[in-house]
Amino acid sequence: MAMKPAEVVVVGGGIVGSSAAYFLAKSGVDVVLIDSRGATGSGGASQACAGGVRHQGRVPAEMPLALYAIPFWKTLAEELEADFQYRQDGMTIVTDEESFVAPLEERVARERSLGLNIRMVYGEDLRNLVPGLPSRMLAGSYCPLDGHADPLRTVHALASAAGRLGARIEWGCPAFSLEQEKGRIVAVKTARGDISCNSVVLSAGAWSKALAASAQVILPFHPFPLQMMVTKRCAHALDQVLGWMGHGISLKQVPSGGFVIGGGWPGHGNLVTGSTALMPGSMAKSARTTVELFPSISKLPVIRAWVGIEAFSVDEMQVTGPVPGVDGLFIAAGFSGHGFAIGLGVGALIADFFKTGSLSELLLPFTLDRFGPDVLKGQSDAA
Amino acid sequence: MCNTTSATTFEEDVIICRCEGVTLGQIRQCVKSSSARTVNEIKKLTRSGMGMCQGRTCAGTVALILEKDAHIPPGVEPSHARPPVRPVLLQDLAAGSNDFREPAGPVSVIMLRKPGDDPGRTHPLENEQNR
Repeated sequence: MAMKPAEVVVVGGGIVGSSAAYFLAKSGVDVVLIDSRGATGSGGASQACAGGVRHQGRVPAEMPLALYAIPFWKTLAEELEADFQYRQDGMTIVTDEESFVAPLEERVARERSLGLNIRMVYGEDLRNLVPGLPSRMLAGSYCPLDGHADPLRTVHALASAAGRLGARIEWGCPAFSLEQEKGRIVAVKTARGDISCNSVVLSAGAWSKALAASAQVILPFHPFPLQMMVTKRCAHALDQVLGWMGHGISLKQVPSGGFVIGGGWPGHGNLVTGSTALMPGSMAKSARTTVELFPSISKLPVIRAWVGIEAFSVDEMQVTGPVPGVDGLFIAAGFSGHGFAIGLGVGALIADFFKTGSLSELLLPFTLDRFGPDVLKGQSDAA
Repeated sequence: MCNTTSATTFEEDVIICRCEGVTLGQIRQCVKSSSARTVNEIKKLTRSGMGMCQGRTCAGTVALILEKDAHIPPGVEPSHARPPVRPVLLQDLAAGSNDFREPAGPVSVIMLRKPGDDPGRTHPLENEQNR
């Protein structure tokens, strides 16, 4: 059984894959986007995502990429006439520990030198900037360009737009393996049959590791199930996204009125079945961190909590770029909990690569070869 | 539910999800304009079932609309029930943790890292799993 061939098969319909499919279709590439689940997220990173769109707190290698990618949130929403519920009201990462103030100042100075609009805010000024913070918070790093958006709406809008531009979308179509001949990708085996192709964009998050292995490429990823909570709606009380240095929290109030609570708390997840389960201790600790950071919402009820499985690479940086030795395979995965904000821009850069044949220098720090020859060991063994 | 009255006889502006104010018309439009064919997918695209009652009121009606409009056979895949079973105050969740096995910490506290630092992180569940 075979499906209609395609020039490029994008495997994985989260934010990166959907964006890549959109930009590929826009530049006239014959592209098919497949995902094991439905139109609204795959139980992966784009679902576990807290929706934060931040520049600050990234490693220096990622800052130029963030500065390039984050403006897409505005321009692409206009281009698609879609509402991503993007709000650019700033983010502040606070601390209540004396010894953390200096490292925080160092980070702010470093990020300013990389061109980011960010500044330190102290004491009274901090509490005026973010009403509701407890008085023991000493200082914070405030970046007015940070913000948040709605992952589900965004991914759905992107995939729909890709479809309108001619991309074929196959939901509920798991990929089984990547097929290669003489060192180049020739097809993707899926539940609906083989799709012959010239290239594959592997953007399947935590599921990328097994698929890459089918092409004898070792991705140094670990799957992490992360959980999130959301409270009941209430009157608007928080513009910014809040973080707390050294604590697991990212707190924001979304336009519908609920507070979305993330922060990297682990849950249970099974990559094979796709099933996930909450870890009550994570909910408790996450809740404790929340009420300590923002006490006025302590009487708000949590109405829902959920888990998605994310891929963390060993150095907590994405793997994005073509794979040396496997012609036609392009990896874009392992975003390690901070891919959502830059996902739209990464999709655009992937399409640029297929158009020009060369990888943007913004992505050069993230190619697989940074891990050395071992990641392609399986490849040479097979040859 | 709704054995005697077809959803198709209602006006488009009738509210199906009271918590989130989602109307019959919005849900029908979603079925028409997207590939969503389960209660869960409709929920994620329209917010129907995402409010205070977590779909206890509307999920059955949404299933009925799917059966009528999208000709999905009766018994469409039920909505994913998300914990907690009932709303729990943040302060109660925060206070009640001693009974639970707790993870050592969050998976990633990137804000503390400096350039060149090794994340040096072990899986937060490793200790638990080894227990």
